[in-house]
Amino acid sequence: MRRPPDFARWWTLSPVTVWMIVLFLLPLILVLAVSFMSRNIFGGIEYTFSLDNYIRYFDPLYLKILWVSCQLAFLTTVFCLLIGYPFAYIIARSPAKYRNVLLLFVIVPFWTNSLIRTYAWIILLRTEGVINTILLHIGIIDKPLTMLYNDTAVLIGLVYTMLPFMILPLYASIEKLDKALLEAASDLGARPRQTFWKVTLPLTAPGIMAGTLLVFIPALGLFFIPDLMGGSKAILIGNLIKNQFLTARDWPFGSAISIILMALTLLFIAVYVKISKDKAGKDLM
Amino acid sequence: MRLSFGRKFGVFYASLVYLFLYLPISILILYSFNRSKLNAVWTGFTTDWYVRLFHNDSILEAAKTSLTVAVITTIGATMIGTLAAVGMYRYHFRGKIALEGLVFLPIVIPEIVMGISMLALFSQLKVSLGIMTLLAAHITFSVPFVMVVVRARLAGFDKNIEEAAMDLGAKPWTTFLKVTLPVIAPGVIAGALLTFTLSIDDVVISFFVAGPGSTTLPLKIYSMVKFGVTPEINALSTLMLLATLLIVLFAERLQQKEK
Amino acid sequence: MEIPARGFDFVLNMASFLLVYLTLGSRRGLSLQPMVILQNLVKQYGSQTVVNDVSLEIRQGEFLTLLGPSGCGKTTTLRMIAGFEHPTSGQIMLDGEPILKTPPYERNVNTVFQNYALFPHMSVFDNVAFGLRVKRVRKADIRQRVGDALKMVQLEEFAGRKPDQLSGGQKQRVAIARALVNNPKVLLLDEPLGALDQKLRKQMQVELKHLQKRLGITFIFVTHDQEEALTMSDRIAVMNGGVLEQVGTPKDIYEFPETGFVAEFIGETNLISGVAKERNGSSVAVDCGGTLLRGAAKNEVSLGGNVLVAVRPERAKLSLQPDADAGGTDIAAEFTERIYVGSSIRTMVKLQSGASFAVVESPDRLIDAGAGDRLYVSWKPEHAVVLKR
Repeated sequence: MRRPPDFARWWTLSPVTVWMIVLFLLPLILVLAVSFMSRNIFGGIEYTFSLDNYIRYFDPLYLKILWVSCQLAFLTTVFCLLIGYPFAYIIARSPAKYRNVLLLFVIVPFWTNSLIRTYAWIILLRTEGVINTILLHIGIIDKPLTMLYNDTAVLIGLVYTMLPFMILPLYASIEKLDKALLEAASDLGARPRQTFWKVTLPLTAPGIMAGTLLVFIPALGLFFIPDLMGGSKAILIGNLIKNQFLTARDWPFGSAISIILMALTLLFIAVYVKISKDKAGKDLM
Repeated sequence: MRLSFGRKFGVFYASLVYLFLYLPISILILYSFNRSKLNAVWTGFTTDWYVRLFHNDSILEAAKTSLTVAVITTIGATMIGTLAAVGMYRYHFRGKIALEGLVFLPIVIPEIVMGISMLALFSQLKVSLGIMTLLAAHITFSVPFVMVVVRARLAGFDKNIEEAAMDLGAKPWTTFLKVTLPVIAPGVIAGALLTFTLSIDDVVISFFVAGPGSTTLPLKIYSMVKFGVTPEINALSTLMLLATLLIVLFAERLQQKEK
Repeated sequence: MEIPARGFDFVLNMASFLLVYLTLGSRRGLSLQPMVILQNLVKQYGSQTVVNDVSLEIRQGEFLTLLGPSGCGKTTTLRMIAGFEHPTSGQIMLDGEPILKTPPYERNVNTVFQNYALFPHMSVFDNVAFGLRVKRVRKADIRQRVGDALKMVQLEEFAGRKPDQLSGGQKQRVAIARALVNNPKVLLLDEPLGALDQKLRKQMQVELKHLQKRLGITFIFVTHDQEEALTMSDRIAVMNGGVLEQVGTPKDIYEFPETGFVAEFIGETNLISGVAKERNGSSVAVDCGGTLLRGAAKNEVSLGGNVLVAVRPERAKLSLQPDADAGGTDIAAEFTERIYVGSSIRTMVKLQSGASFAVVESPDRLIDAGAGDRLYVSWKPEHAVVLKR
């Protein structure tokens, strides 16, 4: 017996399926394919299979870029967590009527263009920038400090851009935390510090993991912050990919680096999913 | 009321973080009214930079491109994303998990990989970069976000009311227009606004798929900043900030009304 | 020559047409033709069979209840009639027409949903008018009919309210008005009173029953509440595990359950297991561990097979001495405990087989007994039913 034909299913889901296959999946497959080819002398693509691009990546020069990028992304994550956790905690424990407003004020800067936010820091930090001008004026220093175009500047820019992505999931998990559990812990004799380490932190771990994921991955790929705040000194993996595609015109090598970056990202997500699944399983027991 | 030490420290700490978040933006806005072009010394109030901005053809051109792309992206991505979210909510079928993965992967993979992969596709297909490629790219990265937002709204949606509508004689399309869509409208609008801001702010992906004649505003800012700091950028940034804030306030108002 | 021949044909055709029309028409008038027929309905989800070979005829103007525990397939059956689920096999006829190929929006049946399913973005008036509007009924008619429907459920003054400004009982009434305003051939009700509190529930039961009688519309009502089913229905169809256990009037179902499940699910029942020994008309003698008990058997009972004897607690009687009038159904038992339930008193005794047996009696004819005392349980033969195991 046949069911009456269901056109609705067809027209709700086929646009998205076709669109994402053609403009998302196909390009990724293309990049994967190109990563196994090589560059010809005109900057085009030589259609022969080779693993050279991946082998080439194991040059210490490129490995170091990957290492530095991961380091920077890691530091960004750590700083976001260190700044964001107490802050999210304070907001989540503030009187309920202020909470939404306080949260809104965190989100507002994040609605503005990330380039503009980066640019704002340049105005502050550059040699003839606001901070130097003020310090010189007051007389604390007698010649301008060099604050821009180094790794610290890039780190500040990244932390500033990514901070809300850390605060929001943290807030969500801390706010959900049952206050009675903290009271129970202190009732059972735990001092505030013990309560924090033994109750609060484990229960807000999902928020920490989500925040880490949301900060770490984009921090690896944001090429314009190192570009603008790190000058030519800071080359990170994002910049490397960009340069291979636009400056060096070595698409196969650029594709290979992209695939490596994506593999790294997916590995990171897989670990995240595994941890949160294990945790969910444990919670069920 | 006296505040305990912990509370006082909390207020102090939170103020510091807010300062960190707002200081750069405030300085930026402030200096868009500064007469001096070269350094950070305050030399007097002026609106000259705004006037100059509106006489800068390349910036106006970029603004036009950005707005065109954002509006069309919003319409396209909201339509595709809403339909898809409704379909995913309603139906169970083989390959659903695969489709879900396909749709949500763009949210988690690095933007730069999406950017270069689309560049690779367009160049293989010999499509010249321009407004069309920008649109294709923007709709692609926006659809997943629309789906997430509409899906969240659908989570509280009572499936029975769609059945009730059909039971009362409404055909599937009428049911969708008269019952489903009005109920999930806040989610759809939120998704549309999110798409608009994502599209108008995008740097990384646009960087790879925009053509020489289709520079968007963020890309224009990027090249201006690379050439050096000018108060014109401050003025432009201030205006963009204001525009984003207005959209957000509008969205907020809409949600308040809903309640 | 041709013309009269044709004329004759025409008359003959008309006559046969009239004959068919009259017979069909009169049958319909007498409501001999069932309004809804379920034929060997099966619904499977993967390897799980939710509805298993259900056949049922529901008469025009009847109040039929599908009763059973949750997961028994009653709601799925209802949803198949409404058109939200498609049976794996079988057929459904509505007023003589097969309707499986008809989508829900073209079936002339309407549903009152368990959680009401009112459209949250529409006023009460717009909710009730929805069905008429999508059928493009004239505006003036809509106003008239919606007004009448709201009057019928006493909600005229609430027409402008939104669903979230209504109480549970009011929402319930809107849902009923919204369905009935379309003049459906059958009204399907899916646990419509489940979300109401006890008092409101009783009141709505009475209101619904009156409404159904007044309008003469066929109601198919789904519930898991046996008391509700007994008070409201013309007939009850008891379902369990996807299978139709028994169909009958409330009295039939209560007095003469056909299966152990029905006996236990509806009201309280004492079940004594034994082996069928001999048959005398509808009376069957059952050997229950040495004691011979007699009971009525409605369906087939094979002699020598395992059977159950079902006795309602309020039909049994306790006495200190064997009762000669009891017709040989006296069994010895041992007093265990007594519970006061207010209007009646429940005494638990232990039979010699070790099984416990409940007796419910009125407080004024109570015998004195304490724990361990020897008593005799008896009942009239017509109050015991013999069931297949």
